[in-house]
Amino acid sequence: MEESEQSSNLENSILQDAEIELLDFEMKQIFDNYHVEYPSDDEIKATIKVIRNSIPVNEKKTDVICKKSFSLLKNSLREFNHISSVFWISNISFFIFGLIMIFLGRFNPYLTVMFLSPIPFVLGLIEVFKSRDRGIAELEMTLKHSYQQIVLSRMVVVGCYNLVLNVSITVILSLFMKEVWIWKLIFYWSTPFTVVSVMTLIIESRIRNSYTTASVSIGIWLTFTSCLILFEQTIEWFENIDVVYFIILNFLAITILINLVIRKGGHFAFSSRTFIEKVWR
Amino acid sequence: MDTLHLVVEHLSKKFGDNTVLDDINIEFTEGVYGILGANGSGKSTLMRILVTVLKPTSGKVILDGENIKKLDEEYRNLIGYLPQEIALYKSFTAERFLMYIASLKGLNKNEAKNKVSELLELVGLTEYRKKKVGTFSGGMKQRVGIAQALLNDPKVLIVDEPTAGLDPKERIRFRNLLSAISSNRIVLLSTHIVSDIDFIAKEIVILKQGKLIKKDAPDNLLGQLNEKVWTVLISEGELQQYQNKFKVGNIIRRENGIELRIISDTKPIETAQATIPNLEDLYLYYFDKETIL
Repeated sequence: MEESEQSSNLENSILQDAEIELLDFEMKQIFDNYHVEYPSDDEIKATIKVIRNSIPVNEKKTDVICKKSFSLLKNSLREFNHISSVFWISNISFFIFGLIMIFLGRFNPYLTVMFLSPIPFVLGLIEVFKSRDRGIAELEMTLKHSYQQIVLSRMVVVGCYNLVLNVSITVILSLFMKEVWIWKLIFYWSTPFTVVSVMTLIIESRIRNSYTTASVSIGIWLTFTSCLILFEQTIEWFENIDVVYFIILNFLAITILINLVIRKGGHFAFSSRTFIEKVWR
Repeated sequence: MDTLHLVVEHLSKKFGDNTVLDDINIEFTEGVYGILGANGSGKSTLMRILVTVLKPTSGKVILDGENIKKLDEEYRNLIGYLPQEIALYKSFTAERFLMYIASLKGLNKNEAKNKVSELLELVGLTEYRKKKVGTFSGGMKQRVGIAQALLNDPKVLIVDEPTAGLDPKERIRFRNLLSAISSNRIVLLSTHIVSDIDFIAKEIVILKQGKLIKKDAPDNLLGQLNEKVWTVLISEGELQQYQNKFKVGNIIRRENGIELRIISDTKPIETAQATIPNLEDLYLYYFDKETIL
């Protein structure tokens, strides 16, 4: 019984092989006789020309970065023209007042510069988020340049203005106060500038109201500097902190700042969107 | 020239557990569409999704075969939006505000200057171009709002309750302006004020509690109300009784009594006369619990 079954299976297998061979042969004959008209060179060129428009161009990473940087610069220049004069004037006034206090009031130049250094960025957040706080964000979200781009370019303007003021005061002090050590001065403004900026952005992402954020940030900063300045011991302790700690703190703050502003730039726009959604509920 | 197609497919939006839009499917082509609904019907949410301010919970919006999410900047470059409550930078002059928005819409300086002048003329604000928008009346602010929406010559113009808070004269002016600029583009006008869309809407979309109830030409929608709108002459004493029993539209005092306009599927009383329905009746038919403005 088993023997006859095995022989039947063998026969079937041979038959299937023969059928496949026959099919192969027939297919070969069909394809051999099938004539495909080869297109002319002009037709090939015309087809390539049409298709080329639909093929996405792979841009180089450097080109993309250049393009984005140029766009950011262009947007920042536009925002520069639309930032309130109150912001420009008030901040420059603080710095001029600081210089007067240093030169005439014999204030400690390092501590004065340290106190003033983060103020423009903190106050600048009112300008950065003015469209959200004044109800224009809904409109700005629908424009060609995204809300994220607008917020980022305003941050760049505010940050750059803060840097310009800090650098300017450093240059003025180093020119007119020979006893001032320029590197110490740079560390004294760069560290609070970066650290307080990070702190302010983190507070802003939670509170979502630039006026409150600015008030809270300045409050914290004022408390910290007051505690520092009021006692001789704390000033002495602060002045003796190793420069390495300033470098580490600066490095950490800059890393977080870049991450917050550039990589998570959308987070602020997104938090505005979430804020708006909550308002509309 | 190809016809524009803006398609809303299975669109839903939830805020927490609250469903604001529920599986909306609509197709828009060139022309004015009046989106009619009571407060809280989901009109503004639909508008905000169409202008990319809000993301839908599910479903998509397609413009000429492409998802607007994919089109991103390209889509935003094609739209103009006038939010329900237009906020402006109060310290800016009308001209400066429009120039600023033009730059955010990607127009170059010369292009923007020409367009701003042209639009200030269109909305009748040329002589106020140097005035701060903070000093403008509600109607003037709305005109600045419509001017900014038109800066990029949008293919899709979305205006959300544009006449809320305007006096009748400003409302008529705004409606005529909208009608004048509506050729070759899709205009979506959301409102709960029926007179806003009278005569200018190609189709009316009726939303109720987040659901699409009807989408049709005004004549067709009104045709469905034939033999459903009645006038009845009653005495003063019967007024309360009729108001409790029927959906009552206009109440007009006549010498011989009070004439009521009643919306009812059946003849309310033997003496009732069928009358020609209008858009207010249509609104009342679908939104009887709401106030007509």
